[in-house]
Amino acid sequence: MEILRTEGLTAGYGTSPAVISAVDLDVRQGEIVALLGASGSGKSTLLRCVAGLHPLRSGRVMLGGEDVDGLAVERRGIGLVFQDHALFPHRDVTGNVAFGPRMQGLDRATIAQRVATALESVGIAHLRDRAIDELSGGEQQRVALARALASQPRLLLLDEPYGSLDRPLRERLIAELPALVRGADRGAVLVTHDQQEALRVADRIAVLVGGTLRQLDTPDRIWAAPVDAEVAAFLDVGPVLAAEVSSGTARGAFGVVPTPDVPDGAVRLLVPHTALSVITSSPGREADRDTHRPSGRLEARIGDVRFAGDHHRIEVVLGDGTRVVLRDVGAPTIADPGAPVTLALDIAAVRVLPAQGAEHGRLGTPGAAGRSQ
Amino acid sequence: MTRPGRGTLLAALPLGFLGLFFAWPLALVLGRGLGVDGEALLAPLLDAARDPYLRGVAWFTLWQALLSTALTLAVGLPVAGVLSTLEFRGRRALEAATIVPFVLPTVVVGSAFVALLTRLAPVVDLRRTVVAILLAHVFFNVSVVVRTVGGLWRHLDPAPVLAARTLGADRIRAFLHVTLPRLRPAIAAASAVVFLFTFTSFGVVLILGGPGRATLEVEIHRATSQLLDLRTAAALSVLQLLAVVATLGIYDRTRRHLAARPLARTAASLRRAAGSGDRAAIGGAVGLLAIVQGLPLLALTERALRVGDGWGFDHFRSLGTPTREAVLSVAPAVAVRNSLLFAAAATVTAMLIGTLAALAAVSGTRSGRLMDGALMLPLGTSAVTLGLGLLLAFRSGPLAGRGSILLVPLAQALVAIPFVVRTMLPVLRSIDERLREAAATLGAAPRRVWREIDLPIVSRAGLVAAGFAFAVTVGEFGATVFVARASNPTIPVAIYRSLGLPGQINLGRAMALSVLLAVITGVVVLLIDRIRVGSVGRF
Repeated sequence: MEILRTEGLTAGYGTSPAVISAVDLDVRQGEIVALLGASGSGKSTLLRCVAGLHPLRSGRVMLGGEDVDGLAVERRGIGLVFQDHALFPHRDVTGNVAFGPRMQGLDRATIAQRVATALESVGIAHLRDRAIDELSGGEQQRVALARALASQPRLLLLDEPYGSLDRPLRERLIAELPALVRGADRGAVLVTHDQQEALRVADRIAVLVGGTLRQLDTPDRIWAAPVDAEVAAFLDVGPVLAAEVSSGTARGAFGVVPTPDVPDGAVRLLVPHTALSVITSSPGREADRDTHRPSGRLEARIGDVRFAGDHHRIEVVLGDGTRVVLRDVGAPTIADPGAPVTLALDIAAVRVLPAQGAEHGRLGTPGAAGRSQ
Repeated sequence: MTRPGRGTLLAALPLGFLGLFFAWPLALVLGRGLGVDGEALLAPLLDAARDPYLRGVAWFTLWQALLSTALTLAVGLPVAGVLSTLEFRGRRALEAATIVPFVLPTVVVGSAFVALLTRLAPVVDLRRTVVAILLAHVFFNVSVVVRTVGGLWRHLDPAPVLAARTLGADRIRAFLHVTLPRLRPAIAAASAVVFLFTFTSFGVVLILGGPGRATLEVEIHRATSQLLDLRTAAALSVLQLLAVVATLGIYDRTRRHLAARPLARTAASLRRAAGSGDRAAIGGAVGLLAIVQGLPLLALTERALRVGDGWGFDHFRSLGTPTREAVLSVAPAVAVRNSLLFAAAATVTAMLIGTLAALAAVSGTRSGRLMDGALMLPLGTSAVTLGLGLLLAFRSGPLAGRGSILLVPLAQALVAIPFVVRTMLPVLRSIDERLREAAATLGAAPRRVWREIDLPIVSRAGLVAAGFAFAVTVGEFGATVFVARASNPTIPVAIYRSLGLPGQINLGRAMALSVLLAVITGVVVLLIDRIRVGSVGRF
């Protein structure tokens, strides 16, 4: 069953241009949808529209199949976890968590039981009598989540709930989140700008770019087939480069790539990080270089090598001067900038994306409209 | 109801109240003073300016205020320096002690100095001299300098001073060339406030100045109550108002400077006092405060408890009965009862009007913004001008005659309203909109949001505001002395009258009443301090 559906949702501030436009989004029972986008892409505005905290310019919001136009925020049955928690400073942990059940007019015993269950589920039952300002950032975040859960909302909205936490704590809470928010009859929307967080937590990911919903799909499919260069770049799937298709072959900085079903014209080629690797440093082979061979090999020069923990970031300069960053998980065989290098390219993994400004999802991706349900 | 509608409704009562009891009386004073009442424009002002005696009063008002400000800075700056840079045992107590004089009613300060100067008279007679006035002004205002300058000093980033030291500047040069320039806005702000307080000084000058030594405030009172010359009183009020507005303008500018200063986010940690230099500095600060602030209070207490050659509570006990020696028409105990009742009524009124005004001011509507500006006006108007205005406005009508008893709490409420607003407004403004949104998403309808979020947070500030309002009104003298009837004096009025009467018993009673008033004010301020959270209610 559908918990949330938005149709043509458009909203903005004052008389300025719309911050989000024509967003169609749906969240199903038991599902977590991650709303992924850069800062200012309209994620939070979208969330506020759904919650009823921000007016729509057009479109509609349906909760449980009902249009909630004009329905006050307090009657929407939504749980919202705010970016900086927005805990009530004048109430203790229990007072915060009991707030929702109290507003529902439940009896004392039920409220106490809801509070206990919510606190236990997020692992902070021992903090029940603590004042809010005595809690650490992570504990406050858990209280915020418990407060939202205690109302047993049908839709849980999480607005970058981990934004203010340090990395190890973030990692731990992210791992816990799916089990906490996934309820049999509940849906959840997680707003984030962190691809890893979205990929790890979500059943489906909605990518917002400049206020429009570019793609809504499962993490694996969105990763395998981003609809356009911006989605690919935001997810950091791999380098995206311009190419020109002519008679079933794309030519560009990556050399020659067969593109049998693609019409002639400008395109962009996405080379997933996994499809590009360093074979060897090969001094003296420059004379053999032919970047137009449809082979799996590319000659380039090392631009820069940086250690990045579990991999090396290697910037290489291709034949036409284009700079591309690739990841190398092995120990770097090359360290000197300027040294020639041979790259292995898995041509089958290269994806064709529309050229900038072209209609999204026209080429080479499953789900012609950039969505698959 | 829409927000604009609510804002207008909230603003209606305070605007009406301020219009009737503040703007209209003030307009009458201005009308009289500027001569729009059927005589040539500015004639009353020009007449006052031609009078050599009144020119003398204006000149005295100005120079005593300037000198008082300079002396206050001379005492306050070293104390502020010690309290905001050094850590030593008793620092907190010393800091708290500097605040006490500021919250004391003016008549209590006047009494304390009468007691001190009487005691010192055999050695050096400073009674009824300018020195007495200046000392009392320093006593009062040292805390303004300590709080304003010390507040900034403690938050100054220590790095530039350390940089100066590494570049070869010794402590004194580092202070003169690095710290002092950065303290300048705070010093300017403190100076403006102290100048304002001493320029409009009333009770202290009335009690300590004696005949021939009057500030504009005292002269306004004298012209009204002794000479019945309302025209001159009004003209002087206009003059005074102009000076106050100019000073407030300067204050506002320095405040904006202060707000624009980059500060260390948390108070720099205090340096543990070490070495003879530090000890001398602490000793100096303690000594200064002991002389300027401690001695007068000690003398007051001593005089209140001294009976003949011995000690006792006789003066306190005698407060219950009017005696033959004391020509006061009512027992001082009546004044105590009156003060508490009037202050309670004034506090309730000030809380109602002040809270509604603050709510309107944060509503973001046009009437709210109007409210915001309108609230600044009573701040800049002296209590004496307020009292004069009320007298002019309500000499006839329902508030004249018997109804005039209502004028006392009304006048006191007007004095207290700015305190209430200034306590409530920052708290109301600080409530994060997201808390309201969070409550709404959890199922709270707008009214419930107000009850569950705004009210509990504001009520604490409300208690602080009410405490301030009570402390201010119970000791209010300037406006009250204009409108209080002889048969219904308040404690400050009774103290003033007792001080004016001959005899040791009257003096003893005045001292006992002063101690009582100081204790009432002190207890209220202590209670405020206990419930105060963070910076709520700090001035």
